[in-house]
Amino acid sequence: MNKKSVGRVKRRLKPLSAQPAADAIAPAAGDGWRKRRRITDGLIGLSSAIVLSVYAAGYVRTRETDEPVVTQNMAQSQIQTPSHGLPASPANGSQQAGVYRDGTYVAIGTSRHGPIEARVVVKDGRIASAAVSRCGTRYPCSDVNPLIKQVLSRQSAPVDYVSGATDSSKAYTEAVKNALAQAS
Amino acid sequence: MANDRSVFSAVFMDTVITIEVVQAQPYGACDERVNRAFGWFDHVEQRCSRFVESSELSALFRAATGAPVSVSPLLFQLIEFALTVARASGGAFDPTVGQAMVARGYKRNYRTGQETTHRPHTTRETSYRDVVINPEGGTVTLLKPMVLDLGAVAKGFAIDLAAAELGCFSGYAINAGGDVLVRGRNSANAPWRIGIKNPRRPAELIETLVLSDGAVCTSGDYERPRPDGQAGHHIIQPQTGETASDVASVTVVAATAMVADALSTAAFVLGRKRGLQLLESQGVDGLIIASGLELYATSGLSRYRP
Repeated sequence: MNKKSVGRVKRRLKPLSAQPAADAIAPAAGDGWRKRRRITDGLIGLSSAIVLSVYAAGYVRTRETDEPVVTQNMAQSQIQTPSHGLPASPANGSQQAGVYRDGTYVAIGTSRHGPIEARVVVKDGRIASAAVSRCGTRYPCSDVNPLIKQVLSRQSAPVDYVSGATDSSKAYTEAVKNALAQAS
Repeated sequence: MANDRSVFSAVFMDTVITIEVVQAQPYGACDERVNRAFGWFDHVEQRCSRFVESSELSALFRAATGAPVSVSPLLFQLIEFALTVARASGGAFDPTVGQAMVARGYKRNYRTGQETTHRPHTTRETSYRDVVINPEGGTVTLLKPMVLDLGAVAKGFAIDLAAAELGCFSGYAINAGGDVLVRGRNSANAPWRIGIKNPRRPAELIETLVLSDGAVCTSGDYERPRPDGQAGHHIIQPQTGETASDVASVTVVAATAMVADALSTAAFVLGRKRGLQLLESQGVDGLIIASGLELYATSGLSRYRP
């Protein structure tokens, strides 16, 4: 049974201890990587030895990084970038308030020029904000600002594209659709 | 009774990374592991990306040519692996193509939009033989000024490292922009089904593979068009400097993502015949889709077909 993740979508990355997980059988850290077995079974053996050695050494977070995002559990079992099978927006682009569940929903839309992540906040059943939380496109995400206004006024995913920013528009639209699908 | 599944995604290495985890017991027990898995993508990227000015790799380019530079075990071993694949592929896979890539416009950091400052030398040709490593000292020496591109090995490396965090789940799938690693079973308690895109019709699948454990990586001419708008793509023939063109995509199935990632690029450059030979000789399986969409498979690929 697929469960949707409601509301809580952000996972804070906590500082990690230097000790690696116990379920990895690893050689000694430190200089051990230089002295590892030279006789390896071709490239597979070499890559496995390298991964174990580096994994054993572990890492410590030294800077703030982007947090991973919980997305909607998908119905299809294929391993594909999520982009299909989502509920379509109503044709006229407007919906009654109260249709969405309160919470913060974060999702990604992709385009040829990179991904855009949108954060949609629903309060009292209405979309209160639909900002771009992460901009991974080659071009500035400020291009989609007119669409953000549209989301708020129509209370649904945008239905138009911004001329001259078609790819960003598509990515942002997909991101908002994905986010709203979690809220429905 | 289906198992519970959760799907997470984040952006690293200029691509969307998705991790799906499956387990029977309540999720909370393994919560932190997914975060740590993503952390490996960040860790590898910050050290090994030529687009990150502060990375260890970028610092290597700035060091004096001909001088041994002490590097971290992580970067050392990634370079060592890249050079091993270069030798195994007769130079078809060559991390020193970074220079040619910069000249074609592949030089912008996808997060900041800033261009890298490495200036390509148009008159001095480089090859993987111009990179010398010393395991005893843990040093790397660049015999000529160059730009190393580890993109074809770093993502697979990060995938394998991330996977090492997820052993507590009964099944998981890591999808880094089409490079996939799976273990165990999906939430329907069946082996994972992985589709291979039709290179000319991205919404369609040309083939589906079924496996419980392994990595499936694809190199395609459609993934990253040239930023300067000219015809061509991101996979470059090291010997000619031109983009490889007889093949539309290569998919490799191997036990580790590091190997699948590297060999899919190497086989792409080698072309249909020699590429297939390389895969067979390395004991991995794969599918080469030629530019006319003819399919060429290794002898062992059929065991992954449903």
